[in-house]
Amino acid sequence: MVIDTRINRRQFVLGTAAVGGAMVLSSTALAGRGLSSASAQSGGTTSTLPEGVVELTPRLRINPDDSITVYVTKPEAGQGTSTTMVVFVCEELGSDPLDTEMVHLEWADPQIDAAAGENMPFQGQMDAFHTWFYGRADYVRTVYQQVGASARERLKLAGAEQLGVDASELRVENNQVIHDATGESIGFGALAAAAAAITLDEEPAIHEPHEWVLIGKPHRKRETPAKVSGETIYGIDVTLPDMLIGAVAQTPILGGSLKSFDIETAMEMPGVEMVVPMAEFSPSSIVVLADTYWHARKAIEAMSLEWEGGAADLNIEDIHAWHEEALEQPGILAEDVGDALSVLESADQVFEAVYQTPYRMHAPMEPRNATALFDGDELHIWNGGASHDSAASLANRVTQIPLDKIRTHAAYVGGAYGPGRGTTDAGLAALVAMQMPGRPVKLIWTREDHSRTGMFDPFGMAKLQMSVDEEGWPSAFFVRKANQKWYFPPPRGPEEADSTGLRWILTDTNLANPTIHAPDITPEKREELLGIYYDGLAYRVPNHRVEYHDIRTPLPVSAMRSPGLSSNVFMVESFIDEVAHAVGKDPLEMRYWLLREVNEREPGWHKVLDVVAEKAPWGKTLPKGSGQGIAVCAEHGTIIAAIAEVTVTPEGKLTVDQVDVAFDAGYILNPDGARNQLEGSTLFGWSMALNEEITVQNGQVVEANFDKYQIARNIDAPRVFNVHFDATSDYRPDAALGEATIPHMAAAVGNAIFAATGKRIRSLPFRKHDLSWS
Amino acid sequence: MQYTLKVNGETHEVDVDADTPLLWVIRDSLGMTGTKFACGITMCGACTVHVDGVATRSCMYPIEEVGDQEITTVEGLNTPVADAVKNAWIENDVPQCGYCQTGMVMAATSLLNEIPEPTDEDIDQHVSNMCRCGTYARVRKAIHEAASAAKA
Repeated sequence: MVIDTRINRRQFVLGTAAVGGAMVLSSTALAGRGLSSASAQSGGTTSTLPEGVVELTPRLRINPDDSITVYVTKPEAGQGTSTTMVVFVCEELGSDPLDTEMVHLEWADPQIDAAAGENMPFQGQMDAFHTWFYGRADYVRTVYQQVGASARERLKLAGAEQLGVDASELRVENNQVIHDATGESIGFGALAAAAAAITLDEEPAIHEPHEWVLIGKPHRKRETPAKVSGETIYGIDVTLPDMLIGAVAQTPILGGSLKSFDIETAMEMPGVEMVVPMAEFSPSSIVVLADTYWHARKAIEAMSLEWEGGAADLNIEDIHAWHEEALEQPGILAEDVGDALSVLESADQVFEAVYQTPYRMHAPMEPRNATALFDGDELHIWNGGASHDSAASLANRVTQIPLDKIRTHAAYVGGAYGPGRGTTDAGLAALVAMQMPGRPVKLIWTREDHSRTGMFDPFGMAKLQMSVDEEGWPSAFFVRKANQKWYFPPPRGPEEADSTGLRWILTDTNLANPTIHAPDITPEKREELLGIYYDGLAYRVPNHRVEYHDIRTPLPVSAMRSPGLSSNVFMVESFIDEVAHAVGKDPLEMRYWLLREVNEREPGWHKVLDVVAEKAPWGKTLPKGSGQGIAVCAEHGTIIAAIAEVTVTPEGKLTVDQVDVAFDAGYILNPDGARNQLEGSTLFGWSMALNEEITVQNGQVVEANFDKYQIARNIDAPRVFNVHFDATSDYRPDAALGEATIPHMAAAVGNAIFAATGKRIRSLPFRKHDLSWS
Repeated sequence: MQYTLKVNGETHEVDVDADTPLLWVIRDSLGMTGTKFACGITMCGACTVHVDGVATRSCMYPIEEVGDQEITTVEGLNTPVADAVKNAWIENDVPQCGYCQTGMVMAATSLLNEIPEPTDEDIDQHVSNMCRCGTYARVRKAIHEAASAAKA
């Protein structure tokens, strides 16, 4: 398969500038917006910026001391993408991406690429300052490789000029231009200014995958030593001179507002500077600023906060009932092949089941926080946000400070498992900073308030029906799913958005994706963009119908790592397993049959099953109480199969003995990073399935801290865990790995529990079920 | 109120309320941010420090109870066992987002100080820190490697 590594020349423009002895290479973003702050730092610039192009995003700087600086436009949340971006450049430039002395990483100060006033296609967001997945790398990779290659050729030409040789006799390595024939070398620094003035007749071709020297090799992350030693600065660690710390309190009741508070008591407590009720902007929040976090926390807890309104009567049983009622009614048609309803009507036997998945929350280990400073002219925001474009956009909306006067600063991200991380925090911090011009303010949420404000993975319930033909293969398949869709306001319940809309902006989900909410987006375009979260069933049954209901509730919901799939795959993969067992078919054989059509187009489907079945291996003879289960799906373009082997004691204690995973994500940029993401997403998916559930009583989220919402620990992890690379193919476009095995664990383990005990689990989490058997 | 505190071999004077958790004294008064706040109710272990060498969750440990015990934070780890742990953590690229990892390293070091060759069950019992990114497979591997390296 051919990978198109050429950049669309009409869309990509590269410019160079000499800045104080350094060479800066900048390029366009897909939407043509960038920034110029870094390229205008010292005087005396010479520039080869193309005619009519005013601002480009800096990508690379060749420094006078021979070191290079890669400008990274993606926040780092542990997925390794910031290191990978450095690798892209070093692939062409011959530098060592892990050498922090000679290769520096700086965050590109993001301006509003995504809010350029247009509906950016999802691919276009690849250049916006959002976190992103490994797999969606092609656009970013080609840009950074191109910039590295361009720098290399310019440096070689400048070196050729100085050495009086032909550039073809030169190569680059370790930040030197080297002439092997004579052994002479010149450091990048001495050549930078001259290199900036060079005009290339044409840009060099970048290394193709078969030529890669660095890309495709396993490597660790640059920042790992700092993460181990405690030097890494996360948003919550940001420390600035004269900084005030803000403790935040938010309504414990969904949609509630602040009714009363005792400001005098707070102001008399040690270290307290100011109480900021936020009433005008966010009736659900209040902030106390003090010299230390503990002083601020104690003051806010002494304020006798009273809340009113909101969904104070809501209980999880209500939400359960809304979904149950919906399933009795026809839903919106999502897919209809053949005539499933008629076939089911006339079938001798119909298998039917109702499945359920709970609300869940992201629970990153770093609690919500943001730091902001208004210096009278510019508004600065620091946090470990996953989407700085959104943060700047929100800050602009709530403070009216113009976008070109808002600067966001990236910190490392203590966990990001969905969109919107840090956005509303930044908005609130910006509002508070406006109350204290000249002083940085750092807001820190409690874990309880962080949990209660969501956003949540939606509650889901589905009715599934299937009939089989004379040979036992599926003849009709019907799924009716009820759950809250993301992004659509307003919430259901007694409260309405206030007139400015700010209240639910700051407590609700909707600014997670600015594209979805661009004012002129058409309903069709929005559906198309949302369609990426509905992967469609890869299974082909002759008659096949999918309906859904959108259930509005007061809980703010949004995409949580593996959105939709973490519910749907549990339901479908478990139900298919039920039918297979009922008709006496091997669940693996059932998958091969269901995937026979899609496998014609994408052979990875059968291949991952082949590999995982061979390696686990599938079909072990196990005593009663132990069993194997299988699950397969595509997650963001990556096809993955997983087999889990479990043991359940007669008393009902569950151990996951072994998990095997085989996947096809196409070419792998960093095999160790890929393995890391597969391991991590397996544990994440396992934690969700085993333990996690958010419920509501009297309008309050019950599981607001880790005593009630138990993230899985070492003791819960599979004892043996094998990741198999044997199914990877040459190329799958847009395949990502960050969420890979999250959908599988619930189904693979649930199916294994059935094989082990005969007990079928149809609702999560597993810990709520009595697995004992005799 | 004035308190004298021994952290990483140095003595510090701090002026804080008696009920201030050790975590916030370390972070705000001493400016050392390697020890993390994640839950505030001792459930997750991100705030783990060593108190006289024993792994202790600091988020609910009031300063008035610390006295003259020796506090070690991740910034102050410098024994051969601690170095073996840190090296194994880097070799295996254990951290993903990394926020829980300083607490994890403190717990792992404390475990190896007490049980130089731990079994997987020992690790389950002694390293119960929560990691949302799910790095447990590498945590276990790194602890076994550190145990071997420290023994050598």
